[in-house]
Amino acid sequence: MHFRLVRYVTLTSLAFFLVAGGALAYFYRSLSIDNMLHLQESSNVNLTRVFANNLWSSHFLPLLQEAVATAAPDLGKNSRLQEIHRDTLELMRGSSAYKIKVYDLRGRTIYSSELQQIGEDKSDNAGFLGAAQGITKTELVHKEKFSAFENVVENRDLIQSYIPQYDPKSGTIVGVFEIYSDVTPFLATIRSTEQLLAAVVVLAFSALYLGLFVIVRSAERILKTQHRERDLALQQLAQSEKIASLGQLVAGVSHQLNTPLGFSVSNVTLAIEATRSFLLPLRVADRLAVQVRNAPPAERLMLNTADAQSQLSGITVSDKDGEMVIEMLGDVLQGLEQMRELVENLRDFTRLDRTKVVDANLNASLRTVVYVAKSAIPMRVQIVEEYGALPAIECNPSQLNQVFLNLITNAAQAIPGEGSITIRTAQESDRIRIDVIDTGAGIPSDVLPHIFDSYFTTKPKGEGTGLGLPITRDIVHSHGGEIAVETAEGHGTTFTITLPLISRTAPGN
Amino acid sequence: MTSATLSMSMPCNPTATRGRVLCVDDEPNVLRALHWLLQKDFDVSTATSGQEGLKLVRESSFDVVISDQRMPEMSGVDFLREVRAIAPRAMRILLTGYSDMQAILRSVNESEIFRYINKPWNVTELPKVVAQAAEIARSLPEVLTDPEPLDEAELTASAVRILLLDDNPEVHAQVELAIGDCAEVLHTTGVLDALQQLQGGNIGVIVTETNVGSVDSTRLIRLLKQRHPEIVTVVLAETCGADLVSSLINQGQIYRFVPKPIKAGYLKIILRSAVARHQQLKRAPALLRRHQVEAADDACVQTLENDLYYSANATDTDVSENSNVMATPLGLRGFLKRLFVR
Repeated sequence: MHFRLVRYVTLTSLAFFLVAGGALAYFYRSLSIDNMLHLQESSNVNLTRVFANNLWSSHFLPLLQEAVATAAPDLGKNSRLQEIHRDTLELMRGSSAYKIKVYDLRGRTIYSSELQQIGEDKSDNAGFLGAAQGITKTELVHKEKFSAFENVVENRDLIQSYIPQYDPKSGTIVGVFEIYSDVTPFLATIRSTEQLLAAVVVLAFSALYLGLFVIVRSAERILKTQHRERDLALQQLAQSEKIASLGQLVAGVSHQLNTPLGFSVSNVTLAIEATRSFLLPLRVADRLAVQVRNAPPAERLMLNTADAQSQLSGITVSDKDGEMVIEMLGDVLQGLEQMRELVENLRDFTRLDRTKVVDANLNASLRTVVYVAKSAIPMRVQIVEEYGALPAIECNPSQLNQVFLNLITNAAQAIPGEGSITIRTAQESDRIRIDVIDTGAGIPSDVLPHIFDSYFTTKPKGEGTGLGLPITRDIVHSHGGEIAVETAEGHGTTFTITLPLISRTAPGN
Repeated sequence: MTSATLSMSMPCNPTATRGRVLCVDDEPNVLRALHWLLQKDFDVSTATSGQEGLKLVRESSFDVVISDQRMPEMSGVDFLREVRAIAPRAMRILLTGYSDMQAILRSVNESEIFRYINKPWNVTELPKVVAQAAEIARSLPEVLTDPEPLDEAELTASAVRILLLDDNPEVHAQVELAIGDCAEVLHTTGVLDALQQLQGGNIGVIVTETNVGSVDSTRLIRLLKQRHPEIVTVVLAETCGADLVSSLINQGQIYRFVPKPIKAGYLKIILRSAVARHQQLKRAPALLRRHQVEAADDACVQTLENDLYYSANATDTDVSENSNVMATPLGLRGFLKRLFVR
């Protein structure tokens, strides 16, 4: 499984930057605009107050009163309007107000600084309706073309407010002001600040990303190197573990050779001695036979005892001696056969002379392993073989032999006194199942989770590499199989290996 | 072929009673081969298991018992231990193709075997060793039983001197703790040191490591045993190869083998028992013959001498302190010769 560190970090960072940047921009913009709106609103309110203070009672109040009776189309014809317009212009010159409109409570425009708008009906306008209730309403609008007080302006951002006008004496709402003030420069500033902010954020995030990228890249490189080194180290350790276990095995088997060697050498030496002692009697027999053959057919043969005495007195051999030599040499043949069998089993176990991946029947492999294992484990431990019929499967028998031997020697080591190891094989639908069951001490529950960890061993320091089971598991997995363990403290342990009949992964290495 | 038919099928030598030998091995081929080899000079009986062997030992008396180690049901060491209990007069020989360290150590400590012989056995040597063993067994009807470990009063009264040779100070502390209040312990950390102490004489027990500094002290033991067989040897060791232990058995007839790390209680018992054994041997020196060793050869003397020379040169202080021991090879050889050669 290859973890693409750089790719994931890049994608995550990008997504994060986009979201964060977008959120920042959005919040800045709406905050500033809100701010601006509030500011401008109060500014507008102030403007209208000034406006009202100056012109209300003199100009607008009478206008309002006259408007009550006037019809909408005629509102523009009111004679006061010229004066109002002129005074309004005077008052508003230089301020940021671009337009002022006044509505009566019925929603009719009784005055607008854009004169042709006088008489329009705004009774269904939400802003007007709100102000008529007493709620000041402000919003930001953008006008492509707009007639301001003295000229037509283009492409301006304006704050539009609907402000209720209260009668100074009675305190009730008598009309609504609509005032536009220009905020184009403000907005422009906001926009440019926003852009600047965006640029700064992008720059900062980019810098952050670059830094991260450099770090992550070198981290990924280090990880790759470590991974490679670890693989190499594991390979070497697997090799040395194999050699070590093979060494142990060879030692055990070579000791076994000593027994047939012992009696064979002893017997042959004695046989040579004995045969030597037969030479004289043989010569005598031969001589006698010659004499008998050559003598004329008479009934008796004369023998010069004085002459023969010295020679024949040295002979003390009997029938039994000849038989003894034959028996001895027969035993030697048996001994040689024992040695041959041992060597053959060892050779089958290591399979050094055969190709690595073959179709093999695991029962045959197990028999070989059991044979060689017997010389590596104490005699108080019995091995019981219960093999079911198995088909041949494609596998690396040399590796599997290592696995089986490892499990058997582990099992033997777990048995403190008398005990047995049962090896059972069976075919289960599409798999082969091999159980190695021992009657040993079992695996304690605090040790069990670690048995497949590399270098984990419960043996005293210096004994055991702690690699047997991890390597066993690797080999089983590389054959597409599984290994499982069941244990009961005080009763024993069972290791179960299942291998697929058709290997899915190539087991060569 | 059972043991009964074997011994009846072979004609008995009509001369005076010969040594009686029992061979035990689970492999019938081995039993037949041993029988053929030994039947010229001895009365040979065989058994294919420890249990069968014990039955024969109870029924008749043997001079020599030879056993294989690796047998089902009862191992050779266990069998020989039982034989020692039932018939201590018989000399015990362990014959094996399998070197199991644990078994070898136990053969020393529990079975007190006379010789440890590897398969394949030497066809000319084995009959000689059996003859030697048989002769000893027949000429010494009394045996040494396991001595009762001495108590403190007896120890102090014995005035025995114990020589300790080890380069680890912890071991010195342990031995002192175990026995220092009742017996004189001579602490040495180098073989040269030890040799000097030995010159002083009257050492009863040697407790030694197998490797002191860079010198293999087992050669010292083996050479010593030839000259001073009354000195009881206790060997301490962390790790010891099978070869080394078997030569310690055959050439050193060591009394006990104590594996490290040393358990305090065990050490105490062993030391006291060693002193008791020394007392036994002093009282009945004829019994020393039961622990007769193989002769160590000249090569052994030479190697020991080399080791000592190099270690002496490595540490200048040793040389100057041990002025008795001459630093030159010639002087060392002379010294060793005086100490070891009869």
